[in-house]
Amino acid sequence: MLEPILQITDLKTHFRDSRTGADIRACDGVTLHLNPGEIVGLVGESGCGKSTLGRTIVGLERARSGSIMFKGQDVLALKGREGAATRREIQYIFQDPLSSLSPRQTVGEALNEALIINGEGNSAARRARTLELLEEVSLPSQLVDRYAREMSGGQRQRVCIARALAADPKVLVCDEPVSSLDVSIRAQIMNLFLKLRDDMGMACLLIAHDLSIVRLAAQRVYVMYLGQIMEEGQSASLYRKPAHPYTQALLSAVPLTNPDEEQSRRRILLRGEVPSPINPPSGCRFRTRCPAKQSECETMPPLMPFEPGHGARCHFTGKVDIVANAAVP
Amino acid sequence: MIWLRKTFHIVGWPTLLLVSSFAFIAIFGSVISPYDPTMQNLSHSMQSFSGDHWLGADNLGRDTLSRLIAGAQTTLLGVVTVLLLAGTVGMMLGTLAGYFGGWLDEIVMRFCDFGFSVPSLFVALAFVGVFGPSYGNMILALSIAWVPIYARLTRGVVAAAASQAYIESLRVLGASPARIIFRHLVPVALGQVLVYASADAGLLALAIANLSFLGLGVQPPQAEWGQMLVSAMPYIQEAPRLVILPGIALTLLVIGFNLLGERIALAKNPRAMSRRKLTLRRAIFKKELEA
Repeated sequence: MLEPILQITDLKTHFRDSRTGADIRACDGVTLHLNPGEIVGLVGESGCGKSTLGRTIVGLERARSGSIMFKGQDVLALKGREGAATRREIQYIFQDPLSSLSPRQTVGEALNEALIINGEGNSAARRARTLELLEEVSLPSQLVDRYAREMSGGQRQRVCIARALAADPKVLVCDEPVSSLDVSIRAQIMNLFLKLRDDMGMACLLIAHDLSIVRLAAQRVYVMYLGQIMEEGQSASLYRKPAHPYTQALLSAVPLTNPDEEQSRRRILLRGEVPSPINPPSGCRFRTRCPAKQSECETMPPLMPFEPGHGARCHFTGKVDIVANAAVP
Repeated sequence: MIWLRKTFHIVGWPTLLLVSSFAFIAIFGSVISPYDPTMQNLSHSMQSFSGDHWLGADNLGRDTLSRLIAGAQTTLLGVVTVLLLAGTVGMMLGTLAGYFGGWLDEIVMRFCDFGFSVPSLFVALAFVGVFGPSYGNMILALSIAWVPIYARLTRGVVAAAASQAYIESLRVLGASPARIIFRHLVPVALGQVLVYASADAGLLALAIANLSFLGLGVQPPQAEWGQMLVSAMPYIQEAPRLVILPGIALTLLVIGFNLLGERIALAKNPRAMSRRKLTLRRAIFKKELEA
């Protein structure tokens, strides 16, 4: 078993509602880990806290409690210049590449600045490294003089990735890196992540709501709902045999490419809205919308093992299959 | 020369002519001025327009044209100094408040609220009242009164920019707050502040004249338009030009600054067409269709 490069334990990030002063539990006790050279998917619907989790990892949000162990140190306790140097090895890719590049900087200037921040003092070395970075993300070197608005979405996202690479990261946190891109470009960017993993052993936390993108790239997947991890497992196992009713419902919503299968596909329509993270349901977070809810669900279920490396936060892990009971529409 | 044409296009020639001629007068005032503005020549007292004194002379025989030119110098120097002082301090406070937020933001903004709740001229009056009237005190007083405007303006711009993804990615890269503030946030705020300042300059020119008119700013014998107005008051029937000329100068300068500010603001942020203009354009379009 490999030593994980990033180990997050019981991480809580709460926001304060400015009007009522109530706690918004965006991320409420998340435990997950990343192995070196592994792409891990984090899926869930809007507002489940997956972006908050990602932003907490890179320090854009302040955690309430828990720990993020990286290279034997708790990232949350790091301070000062050395802390910044360690933190820098976890980089973040934003959803919208246009707004994550300064409108006043050319590609070359942005990469140059990232290298300066990373402590590269020699300007000739920086220039050479800039060209290297562009090559690593398969961009032609002529782009150094372009502004963000003068490039395509795919090119912009590649520049963002190149800038993150300037910090020599060990871990990339990618928040919906392809959802603002054309479908035709998505596969190219995903392949770039695969290439970075193979060439540099980069570990990557891939946050997405698109299950097919995650299936394409990730070895392991975490499913998040209302601030908590509902299910985790090897990609193959989780997609084949989802153990948590929420995952089952999510997967049943994905259209199939075969029209005959699509005709007879069973779909589950979850009723109701996601409850408010200010006042989440007691016990199992999903019980207010779960079609297989029992009286046991009023107590919080632990993460129950299902298959090797695959578990679900459900009292009936391995015993529940809400899709089999669903009607064919 | 593209930037020149661009400026010309944005600002328009009447505004440019007006503002740049005032600037020219202020900069080269001592060269083009026909007389020393404080030199008295009682034998020319109250002389009207003449070859010796193109715009006449006042009760002490001082050349009005020279005094108007000196007044332009005083006013513009005051406007520029106040804008620089208030702009710098306001931008510093606003940037810190906008970027760091929290209690710092609270303190700066409550200070601004206080500044806004009291009319700025009133603040200036109180300051001059305590420290005594002089040109320097007036400039300090106006600067203090103008700081909240720039602090709040900058704070808004910076707070909006700081939540942009490109600032956040710099934070993730490990950039220091100083780098983020000076390399990325200040340039954004500076653009906005300059636009605002160009429109604000007219208001300031008026404030300087106001304070001097009340005897709280520029002291005689130094020439200043508001001060010229008040010292000409006793002779308003005898020689109305002594009141009218500084009035015209002040009005032209204020119009120039206001036009400048408006044109720059419009170029940066085009305003939606008014209903009247829209109807007009539709009518023209219809006529063209019919033709």
